[in-house]
Amino acid sequence: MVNNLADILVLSTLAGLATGLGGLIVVIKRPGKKVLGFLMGLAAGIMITLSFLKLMSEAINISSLFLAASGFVIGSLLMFSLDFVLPHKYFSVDEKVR
Amino acid sequence: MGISLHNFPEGIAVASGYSYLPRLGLVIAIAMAVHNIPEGIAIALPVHMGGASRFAAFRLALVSGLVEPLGALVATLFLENFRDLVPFGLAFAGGVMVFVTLDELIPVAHEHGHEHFTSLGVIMGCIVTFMLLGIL
Repeated sequence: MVNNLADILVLSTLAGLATGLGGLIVVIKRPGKKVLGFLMGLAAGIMITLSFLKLMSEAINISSLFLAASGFVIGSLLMFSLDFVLPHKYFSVDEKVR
Repeated sequence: MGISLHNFPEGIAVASGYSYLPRLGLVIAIAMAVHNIPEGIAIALPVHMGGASRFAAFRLALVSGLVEPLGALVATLFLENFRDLVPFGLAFAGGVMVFVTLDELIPVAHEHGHEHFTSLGVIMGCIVTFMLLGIL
């Protein structure tokens, strides 16, 4: 179990650090708005394809359509309700550094 | 706060995947890493455009990324006690991420103008993921 936890933490930290790498690219060379629009689309495309193709398909395979659908719907509803609890905009120019 | 929250479910996805099958966790983590590079740019660039210093912009992206292991830690400790909920965790993370993408990422990308570039990016992102999953 401890081994699992360590592996999971290393993997997720490395994946998370890639976000910092993206930030570093901005520091080195600031991309223009067209590139930014393209990159945001790229991030969106990866996320949606991965979610359905891997996360949802595996979830359905190892359990049932019902459990997978419940997880999906509860996840989206939670984020939706978060929109009301804390009004915000991710990725926006308005987002202040905190 | 808003931005940081968004990497939390990515950690849940990695942890759920790994708990079911280590290889699945690895595949998800690699795809997340590829996704996180443009995401880091999307987080840092608007902040920098808004007048914050380069360092502040970089720091925001870095802190946002480090929320990912936090989500993974919480999910691992939870799934350790509720093994049956591993597929639920996968689907839950999927639901959160698809919602955030459609509700925030794409609309905000359109605010910058150049919608066609965003659309091209979406298609490219799909292709990248197909290739990635093909290789792994």
